[in-house]
Amino acid sequence: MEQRFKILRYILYGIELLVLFVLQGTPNLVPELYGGRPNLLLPAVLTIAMFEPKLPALFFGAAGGLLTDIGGGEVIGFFAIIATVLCYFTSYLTSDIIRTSLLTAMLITLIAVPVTLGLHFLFFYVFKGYGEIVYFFVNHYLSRILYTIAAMPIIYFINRNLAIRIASIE
Amino acid sequence: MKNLFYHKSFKVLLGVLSILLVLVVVTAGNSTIGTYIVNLVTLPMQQVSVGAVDSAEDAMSQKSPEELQSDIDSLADENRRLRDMLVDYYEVKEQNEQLKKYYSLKEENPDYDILPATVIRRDPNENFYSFTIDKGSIDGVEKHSPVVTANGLVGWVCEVDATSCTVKTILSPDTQVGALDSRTSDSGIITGSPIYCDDNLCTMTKVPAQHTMKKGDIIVTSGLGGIFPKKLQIGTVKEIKLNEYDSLPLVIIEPFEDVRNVTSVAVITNYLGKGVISKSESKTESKAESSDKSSDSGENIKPAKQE
Repeated sequence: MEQRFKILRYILYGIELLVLFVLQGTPNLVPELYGGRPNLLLPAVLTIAMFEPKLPALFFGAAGGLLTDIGGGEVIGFFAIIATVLCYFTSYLTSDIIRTSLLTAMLITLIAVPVTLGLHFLFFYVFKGYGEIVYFFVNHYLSRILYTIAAMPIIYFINRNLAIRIASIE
Repeated sequence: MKNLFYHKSFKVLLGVLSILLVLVVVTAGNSTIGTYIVNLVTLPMQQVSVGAVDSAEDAMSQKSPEELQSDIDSLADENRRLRDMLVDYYEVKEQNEQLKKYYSLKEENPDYDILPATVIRRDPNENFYSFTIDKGSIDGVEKHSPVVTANGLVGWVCEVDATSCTVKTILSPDTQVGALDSRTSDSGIITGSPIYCDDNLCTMTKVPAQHTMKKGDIIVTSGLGGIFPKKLQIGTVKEIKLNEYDSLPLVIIEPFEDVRNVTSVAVITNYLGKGVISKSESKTESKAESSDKSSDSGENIKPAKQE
């Protein structure tokens, strides 16, 4: 019985990731703020990791990262690697060291999102030699980072409800 | 923490990372079966989502009661007319509408094979307004095919899957298109700039110092590299300055199309002279137009198809 609910939860997480993938890529749906739009998959996999054990967390991190890579049309695996590592350690932190709450979720996101998008900026902007590094970071990546962090609480509550409600049925 | 590194899950983490690392190396620069599968699953969802947003935007547009009344009247008329049509009318009409936009382009250039497409995805991680369209290799789209609207060039296909493809816009610094001033025939390279892309502007570089271009001149493709057809409109000259790095003229171009917000485009899948590098061109220009394809120029440069 417990196994069945676990599978149900994983299926729902999978659907959530697919829906967020579609939503974040739909033109003119999420309004642009100061040249940036939020990456919805990143907070989604991070919050999933907060409510799941290490193994499922890392697989959802890989799945969310791969979807982000596919949507971006850049190198497949870049976001996947980062998200896998982040989700693994997020799950480790929230299961063994700190309690999962909105505050801790925000703290983790405040570190994870700038790291991920900062690395993206480094590899896909700075190393490509486009120039105007500071201008572009401030006008594109900063708003993208803040927007992604701002989307976190909504996704956190969705996943928290999902995890708690299914756990209560169990 | 020490125990974490001996835990079974940590070994799984290392295993997954190794697989992903191999994936990065194997797929660098190429589309994969994984991309194809994900696109196959998400494409219908994306199309529904795009349709819903369009409908919502229409519904939310603020109009006066008179305008709404006139809309209602015209819709009632249209409704009456549609009742007399065939069952597949909507589909045919949509196709016609899309094709009509490109009628003048086709009329002027009968050799163009034009494939209308819809923008289905704009990824938030994209830096220069690249987008994905709902046409792929099944429809005859090839890498480096030019992408246009009725107003002119918007970009080129940088990645192709079976059912979709990714388009890099002329606002991207990765784009390099050989171009001419239609009035003076001064030549240069159209490319994007991180500073100007947000204002829907691109730049023309490698313009000769003794040029006679001026504000308002129309810029068209030169067609010399065999990648883009000749005389495809790009935009107008907005400003001419000096490049701070090489002191050569830097011409700011305002594209005819708002590249940042296009929702429907067309891919030119074939045209007379495709893949033929003109021998009369200057070496610099030829190199520049195909420079971003240097790694796989053999794939793109092929004999012209005689029609």
